[in-house]
Amino acid sequence: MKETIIKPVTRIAGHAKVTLKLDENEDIKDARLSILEFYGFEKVCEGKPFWEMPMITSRVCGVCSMSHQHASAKTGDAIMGVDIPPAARALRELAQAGEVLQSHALHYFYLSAPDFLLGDQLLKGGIFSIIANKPDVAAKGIKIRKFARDLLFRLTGEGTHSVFMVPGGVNNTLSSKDRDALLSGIDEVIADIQFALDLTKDLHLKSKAEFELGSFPSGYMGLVNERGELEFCNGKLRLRSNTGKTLEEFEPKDYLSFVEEYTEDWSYVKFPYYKKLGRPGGIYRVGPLGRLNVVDKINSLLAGEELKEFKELGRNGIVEESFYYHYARVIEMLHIAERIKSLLSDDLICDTRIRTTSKDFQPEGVGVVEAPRGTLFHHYKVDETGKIKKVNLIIPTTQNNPAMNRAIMEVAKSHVKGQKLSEEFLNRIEAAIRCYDPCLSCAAHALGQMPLVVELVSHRGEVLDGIKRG
Amino acid sequence: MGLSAAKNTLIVGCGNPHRRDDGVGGYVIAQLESKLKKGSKIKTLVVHQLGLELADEIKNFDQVIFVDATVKQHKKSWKLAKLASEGRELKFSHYLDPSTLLRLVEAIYQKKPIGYVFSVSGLSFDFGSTLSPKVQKAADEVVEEILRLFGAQNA
Repeated sequence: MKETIIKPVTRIAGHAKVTLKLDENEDIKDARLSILEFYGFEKVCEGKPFWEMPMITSRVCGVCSMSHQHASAKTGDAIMGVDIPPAARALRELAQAGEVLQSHALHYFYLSAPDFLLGDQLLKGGIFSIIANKPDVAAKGIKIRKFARDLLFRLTGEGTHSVFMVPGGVNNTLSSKDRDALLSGIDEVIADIQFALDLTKDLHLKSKAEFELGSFPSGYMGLVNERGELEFCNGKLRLRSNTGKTLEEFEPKDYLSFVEEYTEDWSYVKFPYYKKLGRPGGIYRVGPLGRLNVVDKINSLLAGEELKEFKELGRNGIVEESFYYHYARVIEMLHIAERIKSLLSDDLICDTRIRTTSKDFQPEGVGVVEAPRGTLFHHYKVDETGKIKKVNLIIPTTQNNPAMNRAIMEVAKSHVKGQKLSEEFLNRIEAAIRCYDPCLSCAAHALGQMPLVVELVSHRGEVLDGIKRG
Repeated sequence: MGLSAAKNTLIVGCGNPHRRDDGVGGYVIAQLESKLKKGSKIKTLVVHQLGLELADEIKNFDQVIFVDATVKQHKKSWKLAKLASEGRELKFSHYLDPSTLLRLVEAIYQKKPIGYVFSVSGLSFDFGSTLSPKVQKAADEVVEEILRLFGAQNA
């Protein structure tokens, strides 16, 4: 068997290596995305009081720090056995929306746009050429991200790693002056996202083949509300099959009955799967594509209509191709911007009753939110004084790890011929990985940037070829 | 060096104020703000790191000065350098370096602010919100240097 290794992958967060193994006939036999960092955040948290966890775990990641803080605060709510005040719930949703919007905007306009706007031209001119050719698109991305960062700053007082969400509620209120300032900018954000959506649909019409990158059957998971609508903060978890059948709908606290993880000796990231189907049949995907595949509707006007159109692209409302993550990401941005407008338009958002408390601690709690990249689980066990005995974090990128390996395999099967690797192939592999917007720092609970190395290795273990980027 | 007191200038302090000397950029900006005159041509900003949304702000200025800590040990504890107009290929995930940010401004807005960086040699990047004494002295020198360069009409 021969093997190809890609190391490191670019325009994603963290370090990774791709190994492609060939059989005796030089056909792809196996593809492995190895995450080469280790951090061990779960262990670091042991012995800390649970009420400090939102502040500590927000440091797991600089990109989705608010999602970690939110999941952690919800876990604290469960340990205290409290329902937080309605205004706190609205403020948490607003902060979560701000984070998802800024993360999606960066990924769509800057990290992945070259994949679908430039394709192979990227190899010639680099990302600056795309910006120079389409400065209007680049400027819209910046405006959306600036709005989202401004929202987070006005709400939490910090650009990142704030101390905003705490068990029992939130720490800051939103002034009517800040609310009005944000409201005055939201319509332009919605218009800019609609521009991006039109652009995506236009590209889809012109080059459908590009969107077929990394297609394979899998399950999908995400939060839904009681009406089966898209939800980022509350509700139940729904797991759907690739045929559109709802396999499970369960309370987040019961996740261990449905999700199991296994490890491989070649990666620090675990491989979760749907317990009842085992592996490899139990692979499921989370994040924008996962969420849109599990929901029935979106409860905002413009994004709700876009979802109907999107679902028609698949079979039984399920869209399988990895490249459609980008399309789904823009629909989510539109929904989030509409939700921000709706939340800011309600006087509840400026209410000052934002926190409740309790000293009666439950022995454990689970908190789940939809982070930009997918479903994020926090699960803590505490002693009677509230000190952490055990922590389990399941990160979106971890859940997409088996799917990313599978997507790489599909791309390799269609692009690798013989013993040589091409730049074009490397670009396609990276594009397949980037669909999932992986945060490998999060997944390994580690810090770092992500370049990529690919190596092609024979069935006898010889390295036949290698490409390095970053 | 070409740094001009007459130009519309933005000074950006970068770094994490909770990691001791990494917060030197914020310290310099705080000192400057207390000494700059009302109506000064200098605007200031403090950020943890350089995100691409800063491009929208920077495009409005002719000159941008970044103040940041470095692990490199300069002879004089700090160094002022002009940023190269030609940078490397853009490589970023969620943050940028000053040269890349300026290239981004040029590519998107066709504006070419001139960039400079005051890099201050850090000695401790441990947890804490105070600068190490030697770095605080260097930071005070940077403040004095900026005020000297920009003259009486600003300070």
